[in-house]
Amino acid sequence: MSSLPLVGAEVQRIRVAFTAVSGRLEAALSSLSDVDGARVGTPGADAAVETGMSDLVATLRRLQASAEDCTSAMRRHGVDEDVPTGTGTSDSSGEGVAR
Amino acid sequence: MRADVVLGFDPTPGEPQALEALRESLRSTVRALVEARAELDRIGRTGSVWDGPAGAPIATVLRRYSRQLSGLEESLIDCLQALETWSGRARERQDQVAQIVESVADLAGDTAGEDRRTRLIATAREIGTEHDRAAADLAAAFEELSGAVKQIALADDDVAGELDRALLALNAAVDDWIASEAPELLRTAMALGEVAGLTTVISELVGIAALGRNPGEAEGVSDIIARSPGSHRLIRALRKQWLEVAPQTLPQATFAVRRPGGLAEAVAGRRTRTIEGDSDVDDGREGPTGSGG
Repeated sequence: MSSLPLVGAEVQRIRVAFTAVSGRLEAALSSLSDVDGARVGTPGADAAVETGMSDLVATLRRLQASAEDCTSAMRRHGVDEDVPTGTGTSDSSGEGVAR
Repeated sequence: MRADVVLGFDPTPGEPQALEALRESLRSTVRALVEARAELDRIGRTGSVWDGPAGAPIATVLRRYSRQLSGLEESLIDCLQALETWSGRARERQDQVAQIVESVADLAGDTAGEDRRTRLIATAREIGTEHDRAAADLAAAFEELSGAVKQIALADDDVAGELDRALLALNAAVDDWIASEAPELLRTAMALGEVAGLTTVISELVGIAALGRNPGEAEGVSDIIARSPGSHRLIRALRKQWLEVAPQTLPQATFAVRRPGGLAEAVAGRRTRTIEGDSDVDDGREGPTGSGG
């Protein structure tokens, strides 16, 4: 008998990981929103810093949106429970992971 | 004292508080990226449960997203280093200019000190030129950051779509696995004769060892199998088939046959070999060597 190397708990860990990723990126975005990077040096440097920070924020937003989309994709496949560790309360019916 | 008031210009512009706030926010962002990447790397690393044919598409998605985080992290660290360098030197230049400003202010109205005043202002201009050059390096670092981050997570980079397709493929793989393995699982579960413990029985059979767990440990196993993408379908299929099998036709249990496929052959009544010896036995119907539990 061949083994089944993929089980739902592992799939759930991916969803939880992407949720955590999204949260961490959200925290980073929040931190960056408090910054006024336009007064750190000469006017030329300030302009470059402002542009760089704007591009950084835009990229972080795209990555966060991507992580959110990944979480949604997992939910579409029925992986939407909260216990990813494999040691929590068991749902012996397995209906919670129905496709 | 303000340099632009005393000297007529500010040779070393830049607000230390704004600079420190920027540095701290970038450090926080780097930390967040490292932590976010660690979340995914823990799952998708080589040797993980995803390190196999069925899991490869998902592992690929995880690694791809992780690389995007890593790329952003590297770009940001380069920029942060430039900012650290700028920060330290800018502060030194500002301190020098502050001393010059104080000296020039002290010379106000002193006609005898005009030459000294002129020299101090010239020195301030030299420091300002150095400040401008360093600021150009800082600007270049942020321009590089802009160029680098624009290549990360492009609009047409559909990581979630790839994950969606990978999950579909996973479900298909689970279905295939159920279709190919369910008959043997059914026979094995019946042979063990523990209907009430069916979930645990199945969980031990579906490769919990692949998670690095001890197949003999009941704790957590039923939870894992309950969350398996295919477990409910498997259980349903097993229960359905169970009803169609008359009790008297069930094979007796044996653990003597351990090689792959051996059990299926055994319950099918084929001749096979035991692990204790090489003598052929005709089990499956006779099957007396196991205890069933």
